[in-house]
Amino acid sequence: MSDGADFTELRIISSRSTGIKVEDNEVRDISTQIDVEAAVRALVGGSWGFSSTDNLEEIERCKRDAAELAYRINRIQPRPPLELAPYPDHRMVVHGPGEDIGSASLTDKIELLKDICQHSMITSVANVRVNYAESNVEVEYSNSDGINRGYKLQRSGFSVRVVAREQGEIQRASRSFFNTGGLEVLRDPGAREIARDVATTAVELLKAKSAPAGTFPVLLDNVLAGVFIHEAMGHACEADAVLEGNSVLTDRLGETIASPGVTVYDDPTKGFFGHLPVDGEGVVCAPHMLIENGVLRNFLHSRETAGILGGEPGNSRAEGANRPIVRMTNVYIEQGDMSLEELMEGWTGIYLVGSRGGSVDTAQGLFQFNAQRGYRVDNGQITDNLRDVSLSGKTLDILSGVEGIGNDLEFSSGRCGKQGQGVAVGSGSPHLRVMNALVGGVL
Amino acid sequence: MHGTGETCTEAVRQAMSLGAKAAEAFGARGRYVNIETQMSEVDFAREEIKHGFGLRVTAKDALGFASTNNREKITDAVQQALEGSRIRSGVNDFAGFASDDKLPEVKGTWNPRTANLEISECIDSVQSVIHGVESVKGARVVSSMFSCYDYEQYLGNSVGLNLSWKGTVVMGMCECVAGEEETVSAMEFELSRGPDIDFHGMGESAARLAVDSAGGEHGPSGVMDVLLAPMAFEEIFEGVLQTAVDGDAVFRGRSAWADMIGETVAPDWVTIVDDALMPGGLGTAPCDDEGMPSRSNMLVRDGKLQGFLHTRESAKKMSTVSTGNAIRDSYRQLPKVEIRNLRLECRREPPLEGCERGLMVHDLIGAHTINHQSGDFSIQASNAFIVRRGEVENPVSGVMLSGNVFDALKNITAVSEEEKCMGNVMAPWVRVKGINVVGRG
Repeated sequence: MSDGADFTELRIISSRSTGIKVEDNEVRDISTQIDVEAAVRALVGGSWGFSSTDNLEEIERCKRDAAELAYRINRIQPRPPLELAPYPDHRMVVHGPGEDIGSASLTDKIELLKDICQHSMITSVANVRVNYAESNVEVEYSNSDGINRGYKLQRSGFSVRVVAREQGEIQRASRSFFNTGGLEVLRDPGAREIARDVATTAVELLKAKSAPAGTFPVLLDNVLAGVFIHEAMGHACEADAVLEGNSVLTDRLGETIASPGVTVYDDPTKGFFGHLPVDGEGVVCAPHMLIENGVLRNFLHSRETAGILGGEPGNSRAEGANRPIVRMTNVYIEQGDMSLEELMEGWTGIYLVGSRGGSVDTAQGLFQFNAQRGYRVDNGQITDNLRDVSLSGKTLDILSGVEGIGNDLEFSSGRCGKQGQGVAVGSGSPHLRVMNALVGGVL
Repeated sequence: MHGTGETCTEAVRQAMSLGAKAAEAFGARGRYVNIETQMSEVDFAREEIKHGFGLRVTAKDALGFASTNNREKITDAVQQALEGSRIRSGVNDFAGFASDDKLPEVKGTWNPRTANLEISECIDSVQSVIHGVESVKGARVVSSMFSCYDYEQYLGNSVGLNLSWKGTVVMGMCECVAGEEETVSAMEFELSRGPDIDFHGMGESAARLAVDSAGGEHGPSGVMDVLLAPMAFEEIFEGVLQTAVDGDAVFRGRSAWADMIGETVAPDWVTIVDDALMPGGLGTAPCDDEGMPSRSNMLVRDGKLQGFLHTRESAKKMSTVSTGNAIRDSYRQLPKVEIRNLRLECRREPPLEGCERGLMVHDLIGAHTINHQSGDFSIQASNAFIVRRGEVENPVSGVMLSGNVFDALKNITAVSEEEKCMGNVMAPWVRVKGINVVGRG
């Protein structure tokens, strides 16, 4: 299938997804997407050509187009030929599929969702949105080196978004609960607890105080610490950023960049939301250690970046028929041995809980996140509820400022955006206590 | 899927024959070309052709929806949409489909030069960006991109409407870094309907911003004037204003402006319009994505809130009429209320003049964490500079901004003549007083 290119690969992605939106216990909409797409990538020298279509009868045209594009850019601006890293030898792990999402009727799912929605409808709540999504995706990969691999994956879950209002105040809280698996995700009793927690948070924020501003000792809960390790550390470990000089971790392999005790993995074989059997280049996915006891050990690689920098490929992912790029799967910090009570005992600082999102400048190693809520802690006692509390600073300062690691590793789910593509990811962490960090709030 | 218009017609026909009371298909066909560089070398070129449709049907009184790009699955999609509609029966949110085929004429939405760009011209554009960066000493390209999109959209429904309209979009983007001990980055992008972007200038501008931002010291703390560049303006205001004027959010109690018609929300010299007819605007089209004629909507006049934006569904709930703001992210999505081309109409003056002490901010880190309901924000400034007595001075780093977007809107003290197209917002430079600046200095 080379069409004159040095290397050609084809992915065919078939998917069927259904979404149900329940708002204030009413079914807002039900939608189904039935899609098929094909993507061809061709390499000529050091140049990639890429062509995609939603008509499988046009695959041969796509192959010619991709090869032609690669030829043309290689002729206009030749790059040194790429040495793609070889395929590592791993056993494929495919989780699930769990309880078949097709086995329950839409009506049954709606009842489950309304029940979840009901758990959020408490006093002072003005609006509750529960968005459910399920998908079945089948991917077939083949290339001109004779590699043929495929897998099927079922994912499902929901998000809850609550707005609370009282006397002119308006506050919100949200949480997602997505996973690799089927209907059991929706049936999980924990789903209802999440819905109630989100509502309670939104209502309590109405009366919460504005966060103080300045440098404080901070304690991050599992969710926020998970977002931190994904955003601030994980993105800087992506080898495309490293190669472009767009990562604060460039040239740091083997150096101590975090406190002793901090060990970080990317593990696509775990059955969380970021689970992936085979990446977008046909590489069987496997776990990779990024930080070992404070020392930077590895970056995340595509076949191209692994060929240039050394390392193992398996982290090249694509949303649908897009170009595969270096991405995380399930990134997590290994748990330590301190209970939350031990982390809080005699401690004074700001405890940040939940995530409202964050972003990062990998080149400068700067990050910024907003917590769903915060607490002021004085000598181990929670004194104030805080809102609009954000955390920012330098990634490496936080990593080397970790002075306490909880024994309560938990994963949460999210969609990570990069270069316009969104992919399912899991982020995990225990509670983390950090010496000092910049908290943004009101002066 | 050949002939997206014909496929839409076929989907509507099948839906009606399978028992729908009404049906509407929205189809899209597009050719997308994208060139990327890894640092200063072009390493990737892509061409993509996409088509598909989304079908809304009602069996009785509620809508169901399904989409597909697979011609063999039309009947499957029709059945799924009908099932969704039947299950939702009783919700009674069906507001009828558009029937008016007299649409306003719009200008500058489809550029033939964009539609016919050769790959080599696309590569030339991205190389111009790189030469622009390289013309500035001390900066280097991390990545850059050129993309162009030529699309045609269709809308057909069982009321007999058959519309089609087309457009083009060109985008250039460049990210570069500068600095020796500590690297700083800067990003610029340009969006237009035509290929008339100054790519060299864009690269040069990103490079200058990176070089100028290098060596930033810890910033000051205090309550001060903040000068927002167009990118920062869009990042702060777009999401919050979108939620505030969204008729559906108003109905659902999610908009902070829900009960504020006639009240002061901006300085009395500021008027805000959402103009879907603006020549060449990225949100400009003869109709919205459910076929309602486009128009210009006054949101804020002389500082006072005038009205909200609606789809047919949100208008029905609020006992008003659609404002032509039903927009779909793609044919795979249902339409929802979206601004088209948001613009300030007001007195213009250089925001830097008369700024005694403040901070100039080009970009923000974490803008998506802004609370879209309450307007509260606490975010990090990027490419920020001290301003004293109307002059831009040294760069600062690690500075956070906090405050409330609704307060910030009321506290705008100057708006520049210059505007930049940031998608659906025409973003000027603005000076805002009273922002909390939290630095470490």
